[in-house]
Amino acid sequence: MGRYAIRRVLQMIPVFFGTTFLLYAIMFALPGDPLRNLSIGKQTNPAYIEYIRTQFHLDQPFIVQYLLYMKGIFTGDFGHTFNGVPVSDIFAQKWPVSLTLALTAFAIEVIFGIGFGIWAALRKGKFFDNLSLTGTLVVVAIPVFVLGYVMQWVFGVKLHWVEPAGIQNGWPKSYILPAIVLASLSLAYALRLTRQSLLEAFGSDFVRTARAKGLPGHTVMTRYSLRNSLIPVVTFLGADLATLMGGAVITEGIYNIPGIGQQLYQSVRLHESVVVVGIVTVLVIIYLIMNLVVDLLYGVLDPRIRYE
Amino acid sequence: MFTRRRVAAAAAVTAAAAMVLTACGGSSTSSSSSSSASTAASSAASSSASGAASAPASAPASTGGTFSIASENPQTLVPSNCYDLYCLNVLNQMYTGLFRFVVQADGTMAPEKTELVDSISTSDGGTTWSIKIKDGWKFTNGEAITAQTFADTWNYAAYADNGQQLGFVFGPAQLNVVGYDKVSTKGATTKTLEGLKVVSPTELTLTLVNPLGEALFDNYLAGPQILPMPSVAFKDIEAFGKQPIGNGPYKMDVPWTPNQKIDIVKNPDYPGTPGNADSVEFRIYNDANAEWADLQANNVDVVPNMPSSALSQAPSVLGDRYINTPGALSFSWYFFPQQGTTYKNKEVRQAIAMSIDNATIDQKVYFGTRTPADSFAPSTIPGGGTDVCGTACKFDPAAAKALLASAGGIPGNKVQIAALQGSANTALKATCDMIQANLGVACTLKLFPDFGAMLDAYAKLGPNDAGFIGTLGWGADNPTLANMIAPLFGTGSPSNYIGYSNPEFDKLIAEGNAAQDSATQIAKWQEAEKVVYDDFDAYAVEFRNTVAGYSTNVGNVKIDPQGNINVGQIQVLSKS
Repeated sequence: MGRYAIRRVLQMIPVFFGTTFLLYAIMFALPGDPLRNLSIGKQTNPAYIEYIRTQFHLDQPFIVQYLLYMKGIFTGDFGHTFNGVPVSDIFAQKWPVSLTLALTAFAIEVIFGIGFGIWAALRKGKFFDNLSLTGTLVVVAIPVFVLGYVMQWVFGVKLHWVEPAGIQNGWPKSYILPAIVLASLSLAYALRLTRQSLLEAFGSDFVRTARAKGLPGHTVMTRYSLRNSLIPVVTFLGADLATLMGGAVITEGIYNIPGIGQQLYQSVRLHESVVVVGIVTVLVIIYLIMNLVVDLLYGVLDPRIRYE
Repeated sequence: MFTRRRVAAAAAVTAAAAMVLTACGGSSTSSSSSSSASTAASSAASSSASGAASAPASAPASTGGTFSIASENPQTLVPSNCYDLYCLNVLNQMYTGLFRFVVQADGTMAPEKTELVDSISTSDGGTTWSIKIKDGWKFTNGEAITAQTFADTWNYAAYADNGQQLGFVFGPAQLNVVGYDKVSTKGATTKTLEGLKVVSPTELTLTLVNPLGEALFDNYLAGPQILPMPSVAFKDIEAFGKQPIGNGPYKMDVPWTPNQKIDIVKNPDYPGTPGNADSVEFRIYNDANAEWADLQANNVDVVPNMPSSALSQAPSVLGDRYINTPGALSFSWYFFPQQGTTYKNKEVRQAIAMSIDNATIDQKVYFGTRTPADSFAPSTIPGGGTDVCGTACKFDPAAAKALLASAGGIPGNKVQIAALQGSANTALKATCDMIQANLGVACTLKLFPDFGAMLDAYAKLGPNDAGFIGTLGWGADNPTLANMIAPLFGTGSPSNYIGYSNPEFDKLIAEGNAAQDSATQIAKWQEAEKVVYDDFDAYAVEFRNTVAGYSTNVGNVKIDPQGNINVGQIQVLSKS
């Protein structure tokens, strides 16, 4: 298992190069001249535009730009935004915010998604089961920004339980509402997935055998049914944690949370290649690590799975 | 003006500029009479809601307290690099320069000398200027402010390799100081402006290439590039930008947090008029809808813009606390390509303009936050607000159709209007529908990824191309008629996007700039403005209004047509 993990980590190196190259190429290919757009609608300083163009090597061909960027990365310089802010500063400010939000959402998703999923499976066909099925259907059907604005209006503006926007009150007060919105969709999926695979497990031979052996109900539940039915749920949750971090653009916008999603959106608009490439590369690596963690968890959940 | 978003002024044309542009335009100045608001808040508010027009109010005694202002993330807080409204509003509080803009009794904006200035005079009709400052002013780090301070700052701003956005103010676009060409090219070895001399610790002289009238010179000395920077700034400008050291009524005790907030506190040693509040928080938002939600919850106090989604309900939700004043220094304009045959005929261009009912669009799409334009300058600018365009800018479908018929129609019988991809383009669609309905000409939108792409396509149009009607916005740096038109239409100006050139226009602008008497100056500029309308290659469609709202915690909130908030005069009514 150790060798397997090391091999997987080593595989990330070519992925890292491939990702940065592809992303840089995509950013380079975006139509429009970012500097041109900076200076439309107000007076222009040609000397400033020239300065920025040189400073960011925008006058160089693509491959030179890319190599200069990679050289910077290996010397610990992740580049600057057009406003002169080091990308490393941006990372230091924004990743913790996004991580806090994502982990809060993830905790909500895991606790309520799996918890309610188990409960619904145990009460199959009863009131709670039907309620959860209907509820998740509604959540899945509503676009996240609608949910976001409605929750903000109700709990922030009208009831004033929490501030409608911003993170000035810190964790958990400022994060709880956006985390619920962010978690809602995945929570619905996790709930349905847990319920479904549990029900399948309940009807399977090994569970019937365990019952027939006279094992106590909770042992059958935790050791046999749940453990086996968690594999698809863990797969889903693992990939989802990475999504929560990078995919919070809309939620971060609605609740004015200065996280990585918002930064990504702005930087794409401004064609700030170094920021976009930096953020997305980190996201890709998070995906890869989460994938590895999920794969390793399979072995814990089902000892029959072997790594080679 | 200092535009709110990077592409802001331009985006203005499109309805999608939903993104919060600057002040938008409308027609009503009167505050809606909401009976719901009560208490001291509403009475204080209603006296201020009627607009920023009144002269410097008899400022009430210091109220103390703290309040917050919604802002977008400023690009920078280095004064000579500050080219957006967000840094400007912070720097206005942290610095005292030579001039600041005030709204005069007649509603026009003008520069006014600050307490730091002793005298400013010219001895030779506007070419050589002597600037004398008062002795004894200090930065908050204790460094004395002398003539050398200003000289160092301006040299820093003008030198090309320092990459300061506002360096151009010292060049031909505005002041045109002698020797600017030597410092403004890449890799220049000369680092100081030849025309900038320190005479004594309290006096410096500026020698210009061309004479400037005093009113215009004063305007050029009111921007952030003029603000003095202490010597520590030039040693490490990046560190300085994180926590600038100034000489104004407020100072920054802790570095600002980009994308989150900027806190400023009262400077106890400030020799000028102190601000009311003890501290002010500029809270940074990335989405105007979040500002609007926070404002409704009284969670942020001053919101100097509105998301387009809130425009319809803001007047009723905020009542007296909604500000919608016409005359922001910003307009949208259309231009017609001269390369092809479609718009070659001036009568065709005028007929198109006459067939568009901008008043209805401003009311229905922008909810009265924009005002139809018949000149390039709103009434808040000296010499602005007069009807220069005449009948061509008056909506008259019958006359438009007749004019088009007499001109022989439009070749191909179809027109296209430039618009941006990914925008709702509500206003432009409405415009197209009007052209189609009123002229019987097919009209469609031509989509571009951004304004740069539109201008590139415009520049490449050949004689056989049908072309399209271009749409852009413009924001002025200072409240002069010249700044509304000269950068756009002056021959060879970097912002002359459409390649317009008329020697008569250039001559009138130059004469106006040099005129010492301000009445003559304005008259010359107005003549130049008339030249553009006579050619009708381009015309202003609408002005934006100053649109804002504030919470029940504050009173006496005013925002000038440029977008400057009267931070120091705002009263804190409640809240700790």
